[in-house]
Amino acid sequence: MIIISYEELALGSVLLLLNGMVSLWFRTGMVVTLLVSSVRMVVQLSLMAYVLRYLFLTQMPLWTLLAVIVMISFAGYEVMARQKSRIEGGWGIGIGMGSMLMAASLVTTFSLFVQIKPDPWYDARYTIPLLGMVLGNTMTGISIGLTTLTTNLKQERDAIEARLALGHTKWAACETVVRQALYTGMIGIVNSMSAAGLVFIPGMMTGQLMAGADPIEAAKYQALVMFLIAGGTTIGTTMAVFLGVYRLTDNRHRLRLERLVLHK
Amino acid sequence: MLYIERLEIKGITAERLTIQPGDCVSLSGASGMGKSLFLKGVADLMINRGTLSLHGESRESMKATSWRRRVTYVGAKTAWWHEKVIDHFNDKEWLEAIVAEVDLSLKVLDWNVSRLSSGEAQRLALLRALEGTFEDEVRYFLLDEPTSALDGVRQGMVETLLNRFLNANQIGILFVSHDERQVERFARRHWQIYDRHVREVGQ
Repeated sequence: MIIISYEELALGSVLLLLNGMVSLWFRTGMVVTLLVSSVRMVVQLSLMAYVLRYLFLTQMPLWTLLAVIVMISFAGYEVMARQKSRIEGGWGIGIGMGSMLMAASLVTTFSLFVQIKPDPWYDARYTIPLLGMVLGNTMTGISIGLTTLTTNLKQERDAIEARLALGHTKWAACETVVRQALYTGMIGIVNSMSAAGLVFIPGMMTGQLMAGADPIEAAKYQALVMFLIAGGTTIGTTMAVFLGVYRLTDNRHRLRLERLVLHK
Repeated sequence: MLYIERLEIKGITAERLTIQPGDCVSLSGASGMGKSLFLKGVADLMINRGTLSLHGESRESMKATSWRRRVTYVGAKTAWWHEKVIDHFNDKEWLEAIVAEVDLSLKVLDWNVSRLSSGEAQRLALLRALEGTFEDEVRYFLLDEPTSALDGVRQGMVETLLNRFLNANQIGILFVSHDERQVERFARRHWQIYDRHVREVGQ
């Protein structure tokens, strides 16, 4: 693998100046955000690199577990932080965190035991990157699914209440909205599966190719990861959307949209 | 009999009120006083406290969905969830037999809902709620401005239709209307909401 030097990397960051100039010129109000997020990216990646180096060296299951917990918590928090109108209180965070945890841990454990089988099974070199990829995509699915759910519940409020008034159950009344939320939450992974290999080479495969892996082996790995992401997104989005409906209605089949709070 | 006792819905209260099969009761009060809120509360669509019962069966002992099948709120704004009008109905035969009574043609049933005028939508929404009313079970209807989009002739047709069900003691009605002449003509008893309290007023 060709090693890039820090000077060469710094030269690469010049491209960000371009973005900064455009943002300044058109006053997109993004300059500060751009600065903060690019610095965050560099710091987070370097931290991650040092942590990983340490984890790979020591192979301490407890530390790996800690890293897993931290990653899932950030993902769960991020899901809720991205919502404009959130489910208030512990439920909001709980839904994000719970579906994230369920989806990511099921899918990652499955692949560790059934396909990849590293020795020991919790080998951080496999656990952490796999989890990272599943989390990233599941997080997007869940937050898009939840946003669609809350937006459409508000938009379709009259129709939902009309159905409830006629004695339909809350699940029947919310059926269209649930379908849309699941669809938009899961369409991302479906699209990227159909475009993978034609329109773009997925990040992981790119990495393996550059690191010198055989293209066939890299493709196999990538396909597996796509399966995992598809599974994780399905589990996470479904769980989040149904818990969302459960919380935004009650046992007397009423719509309880006052449990949504607007942020910013 | 629909029985209401010490009901409280977001600050709107009622002490003791009843509607019998065949009763047609008007609910009046200034705009924004909570008439719709009260109707929604009685249908158990809004959080409320107090006693609500139907022929001695308390609301708590019934599933919310069965309560609303028998105490049905019809909102002032009509809303639809399928593409076509007909998809909102279960009993096509019944519907085809009854549409003419409110001056709607059979063609309307195959339309997309977006094509309906507000008057057509209002009459269809009422039929949608009335569907499934049979002799063996009395139903109560909470109608929120049920004829606000209709001209005088069609208002009269809707009242005639409802009166047919009322006279057979198949339904009881509590309705809100801003048309005083309609209230006078159609209602047999009157409730009023004043100072956030609902009470019965003189005949």
